Amino acid sequence: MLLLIVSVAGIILNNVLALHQQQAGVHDWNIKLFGELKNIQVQDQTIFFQNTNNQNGIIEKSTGQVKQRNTLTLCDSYNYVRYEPNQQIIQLYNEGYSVLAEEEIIGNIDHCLIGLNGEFILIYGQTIFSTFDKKFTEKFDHQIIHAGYIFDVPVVVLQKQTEICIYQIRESIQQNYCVQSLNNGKIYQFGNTLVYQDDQFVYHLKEKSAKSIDKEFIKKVDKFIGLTQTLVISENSKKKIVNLDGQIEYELNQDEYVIQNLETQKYYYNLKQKENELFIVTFDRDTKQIHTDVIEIQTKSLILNAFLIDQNKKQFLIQYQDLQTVLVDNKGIRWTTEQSLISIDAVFYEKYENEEQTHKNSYYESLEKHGTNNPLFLVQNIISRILNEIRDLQEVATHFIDNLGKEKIQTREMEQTYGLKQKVYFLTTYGTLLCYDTQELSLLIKLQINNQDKTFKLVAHHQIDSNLIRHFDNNDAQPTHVLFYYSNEKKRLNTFVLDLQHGMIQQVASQSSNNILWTIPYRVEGGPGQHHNIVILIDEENNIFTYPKHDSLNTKEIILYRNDNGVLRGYKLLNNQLVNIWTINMKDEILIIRSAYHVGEENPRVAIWDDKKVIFKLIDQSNFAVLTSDGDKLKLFIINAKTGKIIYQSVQSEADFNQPINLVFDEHQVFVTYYNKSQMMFEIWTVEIYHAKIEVSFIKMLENYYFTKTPIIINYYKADFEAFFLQQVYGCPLGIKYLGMSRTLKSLTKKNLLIITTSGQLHSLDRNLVSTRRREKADQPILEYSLQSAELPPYQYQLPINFLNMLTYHQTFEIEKFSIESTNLESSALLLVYGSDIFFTRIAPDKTYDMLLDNFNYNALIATTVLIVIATKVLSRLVKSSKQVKQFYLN
Amino acid sequence: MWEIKIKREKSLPDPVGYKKAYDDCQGQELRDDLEKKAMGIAKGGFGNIFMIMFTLYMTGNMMNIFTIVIIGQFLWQAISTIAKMDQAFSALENRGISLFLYKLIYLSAGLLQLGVVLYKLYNIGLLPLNSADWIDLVPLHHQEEIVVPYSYN
Repeated sequence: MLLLIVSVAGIILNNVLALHQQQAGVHDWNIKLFGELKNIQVQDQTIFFQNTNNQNGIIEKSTGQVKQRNTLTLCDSYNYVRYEPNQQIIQLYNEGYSVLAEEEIIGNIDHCLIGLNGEFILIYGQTIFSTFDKKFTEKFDHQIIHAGYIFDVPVVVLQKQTEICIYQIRESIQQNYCVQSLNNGKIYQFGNTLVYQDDQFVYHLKEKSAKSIDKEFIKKVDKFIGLTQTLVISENSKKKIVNLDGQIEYELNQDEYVIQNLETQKYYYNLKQKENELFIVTFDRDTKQIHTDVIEIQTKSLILNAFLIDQNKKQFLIQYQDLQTVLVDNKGIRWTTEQSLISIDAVFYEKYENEEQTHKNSYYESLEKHGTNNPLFLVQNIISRILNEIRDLQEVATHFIDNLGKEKIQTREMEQTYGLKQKVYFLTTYGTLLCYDTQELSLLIKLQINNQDKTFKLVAHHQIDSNLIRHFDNNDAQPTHVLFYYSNEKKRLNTFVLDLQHGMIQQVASQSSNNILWTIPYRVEGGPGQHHNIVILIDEENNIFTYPKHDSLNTKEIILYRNDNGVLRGYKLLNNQLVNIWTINMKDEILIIRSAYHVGEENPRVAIWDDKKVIFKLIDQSNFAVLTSDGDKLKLFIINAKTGKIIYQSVQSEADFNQPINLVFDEHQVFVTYYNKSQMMFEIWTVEIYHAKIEVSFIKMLENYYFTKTPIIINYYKADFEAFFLQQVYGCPLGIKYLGMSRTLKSLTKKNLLIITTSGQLHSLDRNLVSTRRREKADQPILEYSLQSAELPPYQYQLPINFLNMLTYHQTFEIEKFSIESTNLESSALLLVYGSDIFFTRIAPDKTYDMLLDNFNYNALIATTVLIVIATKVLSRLVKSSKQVKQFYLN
Repeated sequence: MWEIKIKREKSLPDPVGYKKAYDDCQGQELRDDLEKKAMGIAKGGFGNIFMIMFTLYMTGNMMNIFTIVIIGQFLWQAISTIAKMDQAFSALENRGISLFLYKLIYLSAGLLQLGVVLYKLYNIGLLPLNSADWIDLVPLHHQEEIVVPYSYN
């Protein structure tokens, strides 16, 4: 009895401790970004911002963290308006809390202004809507080129044929005046007035009249400063602060930055970054005195934007060209953040190197060589597994004893060993390379590719050593990261090499070239056991060159294809020349093209089993899928790139092309997502390709794949090639913004579909649920040679949504894409979702495959075991000494 | 103290008045007895089959510790039955009757037992007799060519 009580107590203790130490989501992190700032307003501890992506939000002044961000149309810092395109209504919010009005409009809101009496004025297209007293709507025949304020009076500027007209909006809309103009003018805010500029005319627009300005003078303007009604002009490699009459007030250097939005007109603040030092120059306009403060800031970038936050504390928010943003004051740097992450070109990972390399595991090597479930090697594998487990246990025990009391070090080492903790590299459009630790979110490396050329864009990023084809023998080789940047302005291709070990980026080549169309990582065999990797680049004039330079490319067949303005063209690389092998004229507009070929992918399994039979996926990575639109029809084509043959085509009607559309081609499956107008729901359209043969006898299996090794190939040249195309459509209750596929080390565990929803969540959908092999009815008998599955649930149009599979839990993010990196554990992968927000998590659809759950409690397990052992010993002694037992033996 | 020493010899002399000789009548009876006995041993295995079938049916097709123990026991029993065939008939060896037929019956009973156990193993998926069990023989997909769309990055 006592034993029972102790055991139960132990189990309860274990569960309680386990629940207490629940670690779900403990490895997650997220960053909200504010990006490139356009305007800010400061109030107490809050910075209201507007960025260049037309997003608004709030930054916490003390930490630099984004508290809130949205794409609402701001009327001022507190009032905003939201338009619901599906319901075609607008909602006006006052200070972010209450709905002030709802009105039915058609079209997106371009501007929102707050009138003198607090009324909302909305401008959409050529229409002005006001909530003043009696609401009114007025539509103009001319384009509204600007909506803003002149001395706090809301105005709009209309572009008529040869003139621009200023209208003020009060109780009604009244024309103030018109002035002569061309049709390509721009308007700048200039204090409480406006400046209009086109190729011929420049005006200073005031309340009742416009004053003409010398256009040659305005051409020199670098910046309109604002409330002081002065301008910064660039002349003879010098900058000057002048008024509209051209009177010079202050001269400064070319690399100095003048703060735009002054709270007071007493000072000018000029900032200059020079050799890791920030110079803040304060110019007193009254006394003409200059005061300079110097703050040490490690950066090689120039200042992009700077804002005055607090004049008394001399607090500035400075944004550099690499989007590093710092808040400085007279005490130094308050905080610094990397905002270039808002626009990511490429993401890649690097595993930490283990200090203590463990032995090679012969069990896993055998699985790799002979197959995971090969019965012929069952006994050998079992023995090998046991021996390896013993060796592992010995190592773990030795390591445990060595590091006793250093629990954190042990956990970190373990996570590094299994690849659960890696380095993640972000390559941004701002030319920065940022490396973070996936676990601790600490910035490890920051590198900069400095280039002032705005057409300088990343063409491709490749790892050209060991990553392309994996073998046991080349695990030690370090991959080399090569970046190709193309400058459209200079028509030059620049090649950079990343040395991650030493934290260096080096330009290794620069050559004139046309726009690059294809970049191909390629493995050149140099004899037995010898190889090296190169990258082949092909430009739009079909010029072929390689990095590193290599002459002969004849070892492996290379097929390429492209969409040439609606014409699909296939090419073959023959003797260093591109030969056109097929052309397909697509009648409809091509929306998306997706290839089944993914560089660096493991060799996938062809055979799968269902119940007791074996079926064969038709995996051919030379196939690609094309999605086209024809009216409201969505057409899917699957084309073989080797032959140029359309091997499958199908159509779905009622698609809404204003909603997101996705196409994914993975192994033998094609997934298309779109919004179906008649069903009023997003749909997942799945097409699967299978070989026509099905194996039901194990003798046939032995005969075909052990004794004779029959190749599994398909001949597309045959008129009736032996393949089955199955398709099915499922309704998804979630809005699908982006669809992708999860990835694991060996693709042994589940590869789920990952959906970024329109509401900003990330959902993991079981791939089996969208299979085409689900039978129509539960009681439907399944024929022996049928592809329908006995194991999958019967077909239902609407997919069940398990909200436990929301990887972002209750949080919503503004996310666009994701990147997945496999770990050394088959069950787990690292998932990074990015956009305006960055969210990181670990995913493990089949977690128990090779891992204990997060909430597994070792301490409680040890405590329970010890308790049970003690209880057993105590009880056995009690039993031996009890009177009844003695009596029993006496009798 | 008395001490009795019995000399154990393989062939003791016949007792007084007993003549070791088979006449036709006596020999037939004995042969019948021996054949009956041999048949009893041979058919013994069949008696177990229904018990094995019933027990295995009751264990169900779920894989658990009880199923494993029970099936393991029956499998061992069936194998040992077959292996101990000579031992089972050893008392009847060299007694003037042919044991071939009885041994055949005994063996078939043993094989039947083994068959029942193997059928059970097959039902719970422990015998690799399905094509799905040999799925690892199918080679992985190797793409011979590189296929690159515009523009890969």
